[in-house]
Amino acid sequence: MTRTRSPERWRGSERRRGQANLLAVAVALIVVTAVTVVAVALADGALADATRDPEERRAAERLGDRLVAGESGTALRANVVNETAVRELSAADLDRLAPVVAGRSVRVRLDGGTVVERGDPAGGVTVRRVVRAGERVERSSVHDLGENRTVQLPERTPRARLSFGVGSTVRTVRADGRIVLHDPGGLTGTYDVRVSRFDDVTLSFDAVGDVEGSVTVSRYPVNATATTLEVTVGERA
Amino acid sequence: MSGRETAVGGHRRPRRAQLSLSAVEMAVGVLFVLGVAGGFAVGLPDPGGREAQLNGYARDAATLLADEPPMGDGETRLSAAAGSPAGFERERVALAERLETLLPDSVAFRLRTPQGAVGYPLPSADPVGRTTVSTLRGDVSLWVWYV
Repeated sequence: MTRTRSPERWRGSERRRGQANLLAVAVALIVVTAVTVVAVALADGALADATRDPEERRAAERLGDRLVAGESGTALRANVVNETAVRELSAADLDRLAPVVAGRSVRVRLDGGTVVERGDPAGGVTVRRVVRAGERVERSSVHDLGENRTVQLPERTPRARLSFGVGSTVRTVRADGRIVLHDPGGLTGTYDVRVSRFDDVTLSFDAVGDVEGSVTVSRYPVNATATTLEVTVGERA
Repeated sequence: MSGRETAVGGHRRPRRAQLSLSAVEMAVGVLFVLGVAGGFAVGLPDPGGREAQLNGYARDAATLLADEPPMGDGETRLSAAAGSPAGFERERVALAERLETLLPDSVAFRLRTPQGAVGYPLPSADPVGRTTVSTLRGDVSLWVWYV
């Protein structure tokens, strides 16, 4: 007679551990379910963030482009912003410049200081632009043409204003050899001439005889320093 | 009977307790789900964002350099540096200083002109922003990356 111990042993151990197994299964189910719920909640949050981020980024990039573009009211040239215009921006100005930010929380900072803010865009996307911020200034100097009939412009400027004093005999003005003003009857008064801002321009003055008189030369350079413009766009308010 | 045997109806615990399979399954399940959740939590926070920002830095810096007067003769810093070996030598230090000023402290750069390059060696793996400017004398490329 073969007496097998295993069914007895098996029966015994199963009976002993049957309840323990049930409890372990229940605990395991609860724990795994709870962890899964937490994981799904995290995934949902991540998905929401993932769909919202590109929209906010596009809005922030669009607004940043509009603020630094040369043709906008806030910039003097591409990436050279008018500091006064930027500091006076309002939220309505931002909506007008970039309609995509309308209805969203938004913040613009220049050189670390907040310029305009609507709502709380914390958690939104921030786009940083490297710019120069400043303004266009006027610099003037008076020159006696009897002493020297050429004037080298000390700053680069897109245009110059020439104001001829009484007694000036000048007929022709050249900028780097190119005639910019000419009047056989003599130049008197004030004239605006366009010059190349990519050049160190030399003005030369000619008359029929000796060149006499004085001229006031005004230049309009940009006086700006490098800084950072930050645009942050958040959720729809 | 050996110590391993159990009498029928006996309540002696077996010497070799077996780990409850349910506990093992629970542990594996929890670890698995936590692993996946961890992937979401760490997430991919705006993966294209860093590269987009770097590209923006490069474009902005190049725009400003292409508009500024050079140290010596020439139209702009970029065109002077790209135009001739002498021009590059003259502008090289000023270009590097200007890029250090323009770009944030956390950003390194490399500028390459047909006459030579200034800046730091390109990194192998990081996201790198890049822009290229065409000048009359050739293309100038600017790379920027986070350090």
